Amino acid sequence: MHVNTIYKAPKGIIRISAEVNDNKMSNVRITGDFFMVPEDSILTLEKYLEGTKLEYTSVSDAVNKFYLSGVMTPMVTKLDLVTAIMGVVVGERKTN
Amino acid sequence: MVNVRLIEQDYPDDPYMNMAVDEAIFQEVSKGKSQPTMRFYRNRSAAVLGCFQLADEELDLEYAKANNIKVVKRFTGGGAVYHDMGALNYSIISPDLFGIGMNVERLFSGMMNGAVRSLALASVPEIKNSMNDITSNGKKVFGAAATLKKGALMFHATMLIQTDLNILSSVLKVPGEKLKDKGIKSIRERVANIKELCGKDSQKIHDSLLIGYSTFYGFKTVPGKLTEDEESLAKRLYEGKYSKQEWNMGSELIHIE
Repeated sequence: MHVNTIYKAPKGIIRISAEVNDNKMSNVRITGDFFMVPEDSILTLEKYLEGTKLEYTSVSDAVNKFYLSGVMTPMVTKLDLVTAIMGVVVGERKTN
Repeated sequence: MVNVRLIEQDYPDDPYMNMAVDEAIFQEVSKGKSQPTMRFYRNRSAAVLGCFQLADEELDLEYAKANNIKVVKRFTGGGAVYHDMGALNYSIISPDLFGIGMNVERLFSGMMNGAVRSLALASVPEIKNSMNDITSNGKKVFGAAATLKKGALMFHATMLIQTDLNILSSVLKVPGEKLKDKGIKSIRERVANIKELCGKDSQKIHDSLLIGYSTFYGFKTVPGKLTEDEESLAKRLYEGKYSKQEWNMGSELIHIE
């Protein structure tokens, strides 16, 4: 099942696109008008989310691990990212 | 007083090259091979995406094609903007002479101070700023993006001076969530041209920025040109990244050094 979702953080739209099967995410793609430095850290976040269960604690753990690298996301908090990703639970679904 | 090289060289009909030059200067500054630089440039007709955006999510691509609007992605984050000859863009690319450290919020805050001061010098009315936007009389007239890495910081911005706002609002697809948040129905209600607000044209705003930034940061701008290494890197970036569909239309991150 493919899912798309969109979340408006105080400074930035975060869109998540992912495959969800057995409540686990794969092919996660994060796009939007936020800032993230270094920019290629986005690939690390997408990698950490690969296979992650769509449960608050699992997503939160992946996001916390991501921030350990020192990545900066001005005006977008950890909680914003977790909330954006958890939006997949109720996002727009498309059967493959 | 620090000398800052002033680059006015631009490629209005080739927005891909304009982006390639910005990144080439940033990379060369970070290697310690290029001077602090302030650069002004314009694009004749381009939709410029942030590096985390997807063209088909942010733009009306049919409209862009029908109206000969080129689509190019920046190497910095943030949102899509529309450039025509009525929009003036500038970049500040420098080693950290400003005590910013590895802190993007501080970078925005520091560089936005210079922008606000410059627009105030040009008598732009009722200026308010957020992290990377400036509004005048409640309408957005300025948007910026920034990044940094060891040895270099980069801040670039677009100002609406005499832009065709009908084209801007036709090509940019702003998500309903964002419009709702700002209490408006369309992007056209959100933006304005500086010329209409204070009568100043592109040249006057350009001059105000030079004065505003140089006095605020205590630097002196010295007209200069790109180095051979910058020209050569810009060409490689152009060929391998900024002229590529994979970069501009897709979500691939491309690194060329």
